[in-house]
Formats: sequence, structure tokens, C-alpha cells
Amino acid sequence: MLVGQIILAQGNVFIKELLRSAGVRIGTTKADFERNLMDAIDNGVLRREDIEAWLVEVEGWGNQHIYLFKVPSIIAKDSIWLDQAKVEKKITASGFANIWNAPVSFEFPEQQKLTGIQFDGSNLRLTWHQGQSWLVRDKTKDYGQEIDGDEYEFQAYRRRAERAVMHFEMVLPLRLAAIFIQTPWGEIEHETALKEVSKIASSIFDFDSLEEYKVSLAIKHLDQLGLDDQQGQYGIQPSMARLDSPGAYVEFGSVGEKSYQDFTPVREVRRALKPAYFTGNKSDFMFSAAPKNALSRKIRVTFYGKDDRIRLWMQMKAREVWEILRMIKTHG
Amino acid sequence: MGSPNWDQLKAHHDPRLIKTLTLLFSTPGPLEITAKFLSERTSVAENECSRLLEELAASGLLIQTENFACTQCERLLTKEEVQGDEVCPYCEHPFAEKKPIIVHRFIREAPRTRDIIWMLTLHGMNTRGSWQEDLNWLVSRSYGRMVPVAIYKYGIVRPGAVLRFRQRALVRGLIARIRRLSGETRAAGFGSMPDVIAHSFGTWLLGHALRADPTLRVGRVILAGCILRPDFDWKELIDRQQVQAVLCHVASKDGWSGIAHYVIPDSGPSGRQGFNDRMNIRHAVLRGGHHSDFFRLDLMPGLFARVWQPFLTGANGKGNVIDPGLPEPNWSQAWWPLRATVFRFFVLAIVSGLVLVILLAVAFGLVDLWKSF
Repeated sequence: MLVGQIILAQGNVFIKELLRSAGVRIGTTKADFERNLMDAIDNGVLRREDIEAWLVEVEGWGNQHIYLFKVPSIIAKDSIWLDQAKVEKKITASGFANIWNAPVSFEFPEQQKLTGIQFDGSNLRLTWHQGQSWLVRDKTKDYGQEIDGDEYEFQAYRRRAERAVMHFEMVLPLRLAAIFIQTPWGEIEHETALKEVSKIASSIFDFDSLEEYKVSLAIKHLDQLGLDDQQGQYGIQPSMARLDSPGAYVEFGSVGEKSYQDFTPVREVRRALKPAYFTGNKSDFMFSAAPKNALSRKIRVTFYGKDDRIRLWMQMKAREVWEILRMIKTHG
Repeated sequence: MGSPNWDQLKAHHDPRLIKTLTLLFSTPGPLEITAKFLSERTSVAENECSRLLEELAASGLLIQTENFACTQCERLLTKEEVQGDEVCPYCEHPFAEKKPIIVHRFIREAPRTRDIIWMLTLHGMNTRGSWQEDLNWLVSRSYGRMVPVAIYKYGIVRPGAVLRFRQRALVRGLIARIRRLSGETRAAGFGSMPDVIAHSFGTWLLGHALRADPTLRVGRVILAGCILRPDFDWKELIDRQQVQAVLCHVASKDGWSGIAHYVIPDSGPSGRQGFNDRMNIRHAVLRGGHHSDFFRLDLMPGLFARVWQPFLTGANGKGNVIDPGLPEPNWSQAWWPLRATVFRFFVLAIVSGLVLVILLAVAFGLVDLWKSF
């Protein structure tokens, strides 16, 4: 059952949340989740709308690469966004009438496929899906059988399917847009994905007017924020930062879970550095719950200055991802 | 966690290890050591290093932990990271080539220390504050990086300190100076808030400047020979985030601070008996010390290392250890004719009268001298 496969591909913490919200017994292992989930769907306890709402919040968020853009006034103040009918007309005219405000797709397309375009008055979202499947060994289903006098051993593999999700989302109130890619990093693969987003989005608005977010600057600013935030008000702590100057570079890092800035001798060295002479190359930050953000857990984020890429390292919810992007926009 | 008994440890461990660990333990903030690190640093065999670290862990001075680490980048990895990925999530080194290894770490948990970004020093009314230069030199030698020290000199203001209009002008001057310096440090990439070390009338000026301008902000403040009223409301300034924390360094024989209340308006003997608020203001006592003893060349380096620096760089500047040498917090102001209301004019009149008598005596003497020729 495809729906079940999509659900089970999400993180345990999110599956538990779905089952809990439906009042279904949770269990402890993935097998328990699967059994209880299927029962809940069969009995009608878990409805399609519940699953769709949950998937919109969970699937394709976190564990991904992000290319961030600032939305300039020329796009944000375009009158088209004030009238949903105008947006619909534009999208229909571009040949995407069949996926305008489409419900969440449960498809596993072999090739990456645009499966939905949504606009709710302030957020424009484009979603692509691509299915992939692989075999997982399951010894519990092995068996032996005698055939024509010979002993045969049958070893069982279970086929598991997962979907890679790619999003483009423009959040007008935040004046931010971002492309979210779950495909593993590869220059060619990501370039192809970015071109695809650009092609589709350009048929709706002037995509080229979006300003690419300078990740190298964010590295420097967030690293400095960690240094100056002695009270831990912002919850942004670098565990690694590589800062380049022409012909040489300096790299700060901690081996453990603490920030390198927690260690006085290394922080003293960092204090001696004048950021104006450096460019941010790469950094690892831990974003955690703090008085000046709305996060509730620790999330590791890597910044790549050279290709203006941000990497989230765990599955998250849409609102958590956007809270991180908001923090990056505000302080980076 | 306390500090080990190094002398005892020296008896049965390599002195190179003890020397290195003494230095590491004296560094404030968290500490994470491995036997390998210690061995590389001291050239002592790794198993000997392990033996000492385990001994320290057994006595509760360090916490021993066991973690996976990538062999390539040496980053520590969680169990999930080791089991879930085929490559190191930090350096992308494939685990198939070399599996993560187990690392034993010895940890001292401590909160992150605070940095001094730049410092402002304010002298008293009786001197031009030569101690400011000595402190500047001391601070310059104490850190591996530059910590700018701004020295504010407003001159000798003996009569000015008792006159309201002159006080107001001095307060305005200090506000303008802090604003200018803050702008300059911000532009140079330092933070905009200075930590302040003030002495005598400098403490009065600072307190009143902060009260006069609610937008003025400073970091942590050290007051020596303080002449602010002991009921001065620092809490209000802390709550308004104008001040991060205050240390009042009391001198038990501070005579000037005791007199201030009777001649300088809105002042008091906080430099001798501390502030009434013991919850929000940290206090230290220089036993047998006089008004300006804090800045004596034989005392200042020790006070800086033992009292001022830990206050400025500690994670929390608020907590207070009540020194038994500190008088009870029960100060109240003197009967109004006695405090610096009419009494200061009386003092000013006496001083002016004395000056006049001296001038007249000199003049008459000169006239007599001229006549005798």
C-alpha cells in the first residue's frame, strides 16, 4: 500500500505523532507502527485528509539542501499576489491546470515529476516527487523447501519505497524564497534540479529577479553572532567555521557537540580575527531552542559559501525549517 | 568540580603531565581532554596519561565518556550517525575504508566564560588617575588579543564635585564620551558596550550618567572607592539592561568615601560599607585598604587576577558571596542639614574663607615687604 510506504518512510518521531493525533495505539518498533497504521487506515480511524495534512507538514522537510533567495519588492508587491484568481489564471495559462491546488500526491513516479502547485494568499509552493525503491533483507520470511529431492533455501527481501521531494516555496510575508532538494549533493544533479525549478517558476513570475542569498556572508555574520551572544539568547552556535582570505584560510572547530566558541583559548583566537578581511567558506551550526527563536530542539545546519547552499541534517517539520530560514535571514 | 591536589599527584605521576594539566585546569570554561592529546603535548606515554586522567575521573574532578569518532576528521559521532550513514556526516570519509573508533574523553563541565571586549576607566576627583595607565598596561599583557582600554580624564574637579551645575556638566561630558567611544569601537568591529572600572568620583559620574540617560549601556562595572549612595538603585539599571552586573570593591579603611556624603550631593559611603542591595550587587572587600589602595602597583595585579578578572569573565556576574568583612547593609542618609545640602556650602565658605585669608596674608606681606625697601 503506497500510502503506508510514504508514511513509514518518515521519521519515527513524526509517525508516532500522527498515530497519537488519531488516537491510535503507537507501539515501539517500526513493525508495530506499520501494523497499527494499516489497521487505523483500514478501520477508517485515520482518514485521507489527516494523512494529507500531516504529509504537507512533514514530507520533504529537513534532511535536504536549500538554495535561499530574497524576494525583491518588484515581485513581493506585484498585484497578482493579491488576487488568487489571477494566480490561478496565470498557472492555468502555463499549462498546469491539472495540478493547481492538487491534493497531496501518493504517486511514486520513476522520473522527477511536478505534482502540485499551491498558493494560499501568501505562500506559493511547487512540489516535485520522485519515487525510488530498494530491497531490505527480512530473515523472518526465509524458508527452506525440498524441490525434486533437493533442499532449497529461500532468502527473503522486502521491497521498500521512498519518495524524494523537491519544493520551491516563496513566502511573501518573509520576503524569502527557497528551493529544497533532497537529492544527494552533486554539482550536475543540483544544477539540473535548479534549472527545472527556474523553468517552471518563470512561467508564473519573474524568477530571475529573485536575489540569491549570499551564504558566505551568513557564515560570517552567524559566527559573529555566536561570539557576541554571550547570554545564549539566539541559540545559534558554530561547531566549525572555515574563513578564507586570499591565498590562505583559518578553520575553527570543536570535536564534540559543544561550540568551538565555548572553549576560551580558541575563542580568544577567534576574537583576534577581523571578519572584514575574511570570506565564509563553510560552517557547521547547531540551532537550538533559545529565548529569541521558536525552536524546540537542536538542529544541525551546514553552510556552504562557495555554492550558496544550506544543508539541514535531520527530518523536520515545515514550520521548523522556515523558523531556521527566518533566523538566517534576520541574523545572517 | 574543584581543583586537584597537584602536590599529591606529583608524587606518583610524571611532572610534565602535572605541569600541563595545571595549566589546562587553570583555564576557565569547559575542558575536554583525551590521553592521546595529553601524550602528544607532553611526550609522556599514552597509558600513563590515561592512568592520571582516570584517577582524576575517579576522584570526581573529570567525567569520563566514551564516544565514536571519525578517523579522518576526528569529529565525535553519535550512535545514529555511525549506524545510519556509510560516510562521516562531517567530512564524508567513507566508513568502509576505516570504521569509526572509540574515544575516551575526560570532561570538565563548565559554562562558557565571558569576553572583555573593551574597557573604560574613570578616575577620581583628586587625581589625574595615573593608575589608568598602569591598568591599561596590565590588561594589554593579560590576553592573547587586543582589549582596548579607553582612559577618560576629566581633570581635577575638587570644587566642581560639590556644585550641582558642574556635576551636571561632567555627567553630560561622560555620556558624550561613552557614546563617541562606543560608536568608534562598533565601527572597528568590536562591540559597542564597554566594561567599566571606576574609582571614587568616577563611580559617582558613571552611576549618574546611566541614570540621566536611559539609552546609555555598559557591560560589567567594577566600582573601587565608590562614593555612590549605598541605596543607589542599580537593580533598576540592571533591569533596564543598561548595566549587566556590578562589583563593588570595598576598602575597609576608606576615609574619603565616608566623608563624601557630607560634601558631595547625592553621594554616600558605598566604598566603605558596600551597597544595601546584596542580591544584585556583588561585593569584595580589601581588608585594611584605603580609598586608593586598589591601584597600588604592588596590589593591583593580584586584585585584577583574583577578583576583577573572574568577575568580568565569569559566566554569571550576579551571584554574590558575602564576605564576612563587609558591614551590615543598613545605611540610611544623614539628617538633611548635615548631609551635602547646606553643609557643603558651609564647607565651601570655610575653604573659600581660608583661601581668602591666605591670599590677604600674602598680599599684606608683600605690601610690608615693599614698604621695608
